[in-house]
Amino acid sequence: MPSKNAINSNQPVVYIVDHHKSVLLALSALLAPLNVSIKCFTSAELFLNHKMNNEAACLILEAHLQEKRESGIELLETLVRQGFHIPTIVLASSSDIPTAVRAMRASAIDFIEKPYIEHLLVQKVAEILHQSAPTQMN
Amino acid sequence: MKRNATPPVLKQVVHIIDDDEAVLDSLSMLLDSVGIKNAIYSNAQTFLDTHQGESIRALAGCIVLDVRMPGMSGMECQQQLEQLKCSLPVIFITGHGDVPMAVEAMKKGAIEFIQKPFREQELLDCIQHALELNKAEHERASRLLDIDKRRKSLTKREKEVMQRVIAGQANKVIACDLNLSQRTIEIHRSNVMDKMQVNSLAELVTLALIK
Amino acid sequence: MTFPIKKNLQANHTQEITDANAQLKALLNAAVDAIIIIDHLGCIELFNAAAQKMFGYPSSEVVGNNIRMLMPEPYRREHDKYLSNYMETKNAKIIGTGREVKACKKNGEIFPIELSVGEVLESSHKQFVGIIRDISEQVKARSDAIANRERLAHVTRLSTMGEMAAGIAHEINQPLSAISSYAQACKNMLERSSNVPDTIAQQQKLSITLEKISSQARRAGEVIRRLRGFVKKRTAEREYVDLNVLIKDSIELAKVDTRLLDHGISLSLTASPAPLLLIDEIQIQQVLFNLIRNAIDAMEDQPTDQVNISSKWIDAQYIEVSVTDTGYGVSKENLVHLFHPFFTTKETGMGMGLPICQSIIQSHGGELRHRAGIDKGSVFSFTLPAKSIVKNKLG
Repeated sequence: MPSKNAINSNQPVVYIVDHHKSVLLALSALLAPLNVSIKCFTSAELFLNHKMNNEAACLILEAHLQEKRESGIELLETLVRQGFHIPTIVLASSSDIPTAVRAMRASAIDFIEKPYIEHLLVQKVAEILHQSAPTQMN
Repeated sequence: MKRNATPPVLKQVVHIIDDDEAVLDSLSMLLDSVGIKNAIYSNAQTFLDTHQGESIRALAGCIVLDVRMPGMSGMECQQQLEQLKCSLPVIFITGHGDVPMAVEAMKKGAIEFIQKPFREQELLDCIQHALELNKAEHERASRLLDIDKRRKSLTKREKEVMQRVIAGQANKVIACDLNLSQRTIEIHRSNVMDKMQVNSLAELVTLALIK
Repeated sequence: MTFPIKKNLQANHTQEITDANAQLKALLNAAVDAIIIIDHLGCIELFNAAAQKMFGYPSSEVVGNNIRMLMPEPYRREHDKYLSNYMETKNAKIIGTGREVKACKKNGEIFPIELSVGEVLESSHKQFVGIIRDISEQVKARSDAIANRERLAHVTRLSTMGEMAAGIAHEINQPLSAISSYAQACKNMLERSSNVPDTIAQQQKLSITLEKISSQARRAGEVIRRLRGFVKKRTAEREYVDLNVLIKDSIELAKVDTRLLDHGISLSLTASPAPLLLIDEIQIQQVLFNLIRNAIDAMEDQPTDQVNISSKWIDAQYIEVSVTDTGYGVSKENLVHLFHPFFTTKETGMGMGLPICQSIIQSHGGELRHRAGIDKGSVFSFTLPAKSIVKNKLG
């Protein structure tokens, strides 16, 4: 159930899905000061197979996974179809307007082009976790 | 039993706002050619002025909005529409745009952000989708209005009875609670069903849940 | 030939004269400048070493010949007239002042010289001395400077357009978008009418729409023509241009800066008489484009304020064009450096915009100036020599 390092079961979770390990490492380091539990996945499948708990959460998703264009956005669309709503920030290593529009239609909270501005991304994640936290108390 | 079974046909109009005369004219002609009613405005202010006050909320259709225009920009217009509680779906078109601009527009509720030149079918599909969304929204709104009207036609006593019926109380219990005869409750209950235009308890409960 | 150097001749004055002549010869031959002495008919009497080197003739080939042989046309034809005119009237512009003329070497090469002429007084007969300096290098440096300015202006135009990629796309995409929609509308009309007989009205509508399509195609072509003219590698050339047409054309061009779509431009141009300017059209367009962009930059916090462009006659020969914004203006300490190269207050600026503008305007015989706006903002105005179109039509 809870992850092994979760001392506090109410600790919010940030899920990161990106096929580049270096990106996962960099984002983990960047978000560490937020005092959150960070879970990284290198593919859409691994993320879909993961059983999620009911904690406050945020998903950071690369738009194009494993060199397949918009596969990250397909993942987001799948989640929406399954009625699973998790606040999501889509990061895009290469981006164009149609991709951005598709992500936003799939109810992404934001769509940010890489390279992202570090402190703005951290701020955004903090905001999302803050907003989703109270609903978890109900 | 149901009255007003056929609501009036929704008169949907596509409002096109673009400062480029040729773009405006060609889009209008394109919509004419497939039989879609449209109105054109060479700037956002003209659109807002034409539909001042309450009438902007009563509009049916959708808006095709250019992003960059002298005076009020497309984005500013979208913001104004939101403040005026105009529910028309907005489709943005732009001769040049970037990702942040598109993301911003979508965050504010635009349903599409299309770059010029576009495939006409893409825009037409998008407009079709917007019109359906708007139709559904209108139906929902008019249904709410209708239900509200029915609710308001109930007397105070009938409302009390309806609440208890919905809560699943038997006539006998309600009669006891309200200190009335069971026969009176039966009459109230029948009036409620009549005024709310429903045939069964299930329908009544469904109606009561709609908000 | 003798030179009357000294008047107070003593006992051995013959020796002194010989000495003086020898000194003078040495002096003449050591001179860096070419020195030529002619008589009143133009016959060459002396041709120093520097002259021999400059023109490529040994002294023996020129002494006794007419000075005309060292001149190209039209000086060659006119020279006798100059001389006789001077002899009659004693009025010559060239004496006492230097001036630039052309000379001709033995091998036929024509080169620019600076010539100063003096009249030899107190001599036994009428003589003129000419001192000649070869100014090929200076003239070349001057034309290099002009070429460099044009090259720099060209590079700036290119880099400006490089920054404008998105705006250029916008300017072309508008007509393209209209063309595409018109065409699709025509197609729909035709498909719909396949079941019913075509009416005249429908045919007319189709015909009108097709005309609109070609007009939009021409519009796209115009955008491309303007851009090509602006970035094409070219030599500076001057033509008579209607200033008002030029200003409107420059605004069309400036629309590639998409911020202009938000601001808009108000115009107050002098129409009577319409000003006609002998200018390099592209360079003046560049100045206007630059000033418009500066105005927009200054108004980044007033996204809907207009840029105003006005033109007015300041006297019969000069027209003034002003570009006015209501932006943040120029601070006192920046005012001093405004036209200095590499001075910029913009993060991405090179600081070459205004210096280039000023050098363009100055090369056209005008001035580019800055003054503060009435309430706020800046007015950049430049003057240019102009004539009125009405007069020109008669001429």
